[in-house]
Amino acid sequence: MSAAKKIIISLTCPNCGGQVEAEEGENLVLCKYCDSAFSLTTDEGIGKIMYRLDVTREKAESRFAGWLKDGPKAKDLAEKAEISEAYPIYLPFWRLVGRGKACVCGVEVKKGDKDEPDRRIPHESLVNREYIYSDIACDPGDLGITAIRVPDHAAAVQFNDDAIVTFGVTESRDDAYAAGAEEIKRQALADGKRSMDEICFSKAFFFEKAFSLVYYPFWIIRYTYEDRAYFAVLDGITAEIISGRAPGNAGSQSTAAAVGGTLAGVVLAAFIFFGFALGALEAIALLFAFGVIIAAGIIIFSYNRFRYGDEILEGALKGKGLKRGKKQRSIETNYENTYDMFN
Amino acid sequence: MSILLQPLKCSACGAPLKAKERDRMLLCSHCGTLSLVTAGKTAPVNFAIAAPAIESRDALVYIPFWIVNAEVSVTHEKISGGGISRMVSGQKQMRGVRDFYICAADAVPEEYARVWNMELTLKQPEIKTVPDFAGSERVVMTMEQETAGENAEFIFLRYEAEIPGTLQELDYEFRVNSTKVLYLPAYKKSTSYQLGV
Repeated sequence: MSAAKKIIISLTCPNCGGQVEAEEGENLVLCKYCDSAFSLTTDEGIGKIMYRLDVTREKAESRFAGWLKDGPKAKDLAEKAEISEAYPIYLPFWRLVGRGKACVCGVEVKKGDKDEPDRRIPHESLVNREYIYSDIACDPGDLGITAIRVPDHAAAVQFNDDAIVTFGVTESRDDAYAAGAEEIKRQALADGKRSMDEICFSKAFFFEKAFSLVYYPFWIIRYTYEDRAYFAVLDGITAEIISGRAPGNAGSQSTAAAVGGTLAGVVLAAFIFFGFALGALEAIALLFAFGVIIAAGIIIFSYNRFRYGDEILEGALKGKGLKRGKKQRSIETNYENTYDMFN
Repeated sequence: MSILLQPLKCSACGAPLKAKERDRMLLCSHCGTLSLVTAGKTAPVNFAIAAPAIESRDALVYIPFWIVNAEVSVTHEKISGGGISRMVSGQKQMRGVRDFYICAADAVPEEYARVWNMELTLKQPEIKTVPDFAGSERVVMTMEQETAGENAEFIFLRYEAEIPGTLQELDYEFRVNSTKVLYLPAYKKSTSYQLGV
């Protein structure tokens, strides 16, 4: 599915009993057999869509086993980790698709050289793009899931909450819509801002295409390692690891500390050496300063690896630990039919 | 949760409406009235059909536009450069009351629609109307009435940004007086369109 392709749900025509297909967010529905026109309403005023779980337990567990071996995790994790439970769950997300249009005017400030004043270059821009916003509609607790990206091959089915495990929706439809519309406008303004340092005028609009509550499948795998509990969350359609906790690698911790410290010292020494080789006092001072900055960078990096290396946090998890993986983005852009202008 | 399908009825005679395409303007097969579908209900609609001003051998179709009558008042504007170009090309700024043309059909590619919207809004063509579509295709209307006003406001901003010079500051008020539907004639050849007014 291209990012903004609409989701189809199937219903029964009250007039002739034929199958009626309704598009996500659309309130005008037609029966292709008897041509009757209907308005579509739901008791909660919003279309609910559910995606089919494509990933089997075997596939989820094998992908999870691969993840245990990946990255600076405890060396014997794959051997010693024991799965305590693995189950599919559907989490609700708000999904808002629409066009963001913005006009942004401002000034780019280019710093002048010593004697020259700053150059102020006026810019104007028009943005006209389609955006897709998604945001988790429940409190996912410690799972670290914030948004979804629906893959092309995902199959939508009519929502049926009897058969699934899910969390209750905690945010109101209107609040979610308002937040999504604001976020899309904010993104259109950000896309229009580009190189401007000062904004003198800006205005953004949002035009809705579809708004729905999407139930998206995940696998939750809870496991233990040396009597401590950890978990991983997998995308139920792509099997990708979305978030997870894992014990870190103690060996890599001490290596980080040792290598980091040594490297920082060597870099600083090298800079000082080159400074003296060049001879000039200014060059020595400048290279020494550079050396200190780079060495400090290395030390901070290795200290973080050392300090937080005891736990690995994958995805959008909060807390102390070495953070890995990518965060889910709440806004995506569909670049088809984009009409921007930048001056 | 339950999903309800409620039959849409003609705003004039109450007969159930039938349609082959998802059109916001539904024609009653019983009394011939066009009803506007808005917020899940049907409502009477103020619309007109423009007569073709040019002839062509290509297929004549009627494309729905939202005509947004609005007043633009600008209290402050600063444009950097481009003053001479604006004077030479005679481009006036968009002020006062005018009709904004907003193409309301998704079937028309945006590359045509955005050009028409601007040209028609600037030229304010004189429209002669005809009483019916005389058997020509009526293109499906997809844009809802609620969004027409903001689309018109964006046309104003687009114009101010597109004219020579770089727009820097703008204080304005955009007041919508009324909206109505106007079907404009166009000639269609495979996927290309030529406006017939």
